[in-house]
Amino acid sequence: MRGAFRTLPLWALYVFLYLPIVVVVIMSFNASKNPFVWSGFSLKWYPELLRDSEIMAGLRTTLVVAIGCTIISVILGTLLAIALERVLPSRTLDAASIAPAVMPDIVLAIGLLAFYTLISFSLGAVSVMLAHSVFGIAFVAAVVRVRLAGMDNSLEEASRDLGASAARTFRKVTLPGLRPAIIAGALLAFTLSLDEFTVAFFTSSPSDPTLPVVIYSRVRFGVTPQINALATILLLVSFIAVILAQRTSRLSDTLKGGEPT
Amino acid sequence: MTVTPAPLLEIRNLDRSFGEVRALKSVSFDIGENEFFALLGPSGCGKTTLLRVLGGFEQPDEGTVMLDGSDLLSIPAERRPVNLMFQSYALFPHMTVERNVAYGLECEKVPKDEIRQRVSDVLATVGLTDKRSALPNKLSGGQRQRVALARAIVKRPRLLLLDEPLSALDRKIRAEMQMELKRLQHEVGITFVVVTHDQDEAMSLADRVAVMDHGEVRQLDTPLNLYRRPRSLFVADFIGTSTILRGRRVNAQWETPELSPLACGDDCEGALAVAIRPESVRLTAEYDASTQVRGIVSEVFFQGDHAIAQVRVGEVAFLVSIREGTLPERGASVGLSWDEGALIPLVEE
Repeated sequence: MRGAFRTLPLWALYVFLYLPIVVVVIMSFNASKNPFVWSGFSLKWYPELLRDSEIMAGLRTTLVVAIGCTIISVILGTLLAIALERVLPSRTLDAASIAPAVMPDIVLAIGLLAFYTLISFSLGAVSVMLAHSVFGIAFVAAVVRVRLAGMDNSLEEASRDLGASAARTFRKVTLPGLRPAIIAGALLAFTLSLDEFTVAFFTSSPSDPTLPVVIYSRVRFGVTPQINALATILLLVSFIAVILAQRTSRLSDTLKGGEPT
Repeated sequence: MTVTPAPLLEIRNLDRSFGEVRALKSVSFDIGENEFFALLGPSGCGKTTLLRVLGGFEQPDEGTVMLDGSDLLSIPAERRPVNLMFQSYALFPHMTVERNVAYGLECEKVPKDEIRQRVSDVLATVGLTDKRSALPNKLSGGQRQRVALARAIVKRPRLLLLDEPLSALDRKIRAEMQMELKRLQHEVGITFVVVTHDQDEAMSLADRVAVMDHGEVRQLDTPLNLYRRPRSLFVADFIGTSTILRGRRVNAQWETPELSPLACGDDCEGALAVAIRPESVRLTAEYDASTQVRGIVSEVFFQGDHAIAQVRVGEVAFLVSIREGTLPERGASVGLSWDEGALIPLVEE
């Protein structure tokens, strides 16, 4: 009993963290159109989403943006990590590589919008994709670097010693070693892009907004059960991504385990 | 074993500095065909830098290295007929034993059938046929080392470099691998160069040993000669144990500040110091005509097949190896004697 009392603040903290989310999930199954009154269980809002052309268009744009951003971030982020870890170690470049990940979104958003305007780049899915890649690259680079730093440098030397070219060494030794970090980084970039609002709001075209921008324009006139249903689906996607990311990193630990460093 | 007339490897005047530190100072020596060679020295003596120069992972500032009479330094690491067994073994963790061993042959574009044959031959040689499809993290330390070795020798290099090959193994497997390495070297007929800070490893494995210190080769000789005829105080001190007496030869006697003059031979002329190995000293409970010095036993270290007694004679601590008879008591008053030839002249610091 005493133990339960001692851990009470912990449970309170968890309630604080998860109560709003639980409310959203529960209300997504509410039969009533009024989001504040429970009038019975219903699944009707979920098929409703499919019929909402605005939301479906937003979802399509978001997926295009997130997938494109993931591909760009994984390729450039991995190369950046290798450059910083193996080719050109520099503290200044280090700090500069992580800055886009921690920079306030609003600053990034304003800067990018000004930049796009300056070079007369037309706003749309591509402009958001590139904007999201700015922080996506930084996140992938950070994750891959940790893995690279923990990877025995002599593996690559051994590959060269055994007669492999630089390209073959990268393909056969470096890349397989980095795979778990690259997968984790890709999932991170994907989920970050999926629900990013501020930057997308500034850099997307009004005629082709991403899903979070669509949601925002809807909830300005009040939360509907339909939006709750959408939020629940997004939540599910994020959870799956997080679990997958954790799985791959745990897999990497077992691969690394027992290998002396 | 002595140097063959046409050496396999000729190292000439190698120099390499890292900032202020000179890791290699004009290093020159030859390594013969089929030789088991060791580079021995304390950490930071330049042995690893030399190894990395030979492997192609480091370029010297000055000097040349010729392998089979042609310039080795101009060839990039991946094309040198030289392989390195890394201290950490550097096995590819995502490949099976078989794939690890085949890797180097695949790089050479050896035909598939031949790769299969050579891989299974070499795995049989190192006794790992039953582990062929295991991942490295499922192997013991000794097995990993065998894989690393197999991966290097399957390429049939002219020169195999081994970086601290036994340091990661525990005592028992060490002795086993030591014999294994020697057997393999005879069997495959490849020149081995071992880098180590462990004198036992170097002395037991190698045909010849280069003792390095501060970027210089201090002495290059067979293990037996290094032990019996060290040239310098450094080598005498680094290899084995000994009692070192600084001083000079006057009237056919060794004069040292702490002791009365000792009889010594002509070879001590001009030496800085003399060394006496523990096993050349005889310890007697009573003094007799042959007794050279008298002292008090201060410590006795039992080592199994022999014991080492430390005997204080004034300021000097003599080490005496005792192989038979009873061990002296601590505090006992004893006499020490040795033959004239037991004094090893040391002519350098």
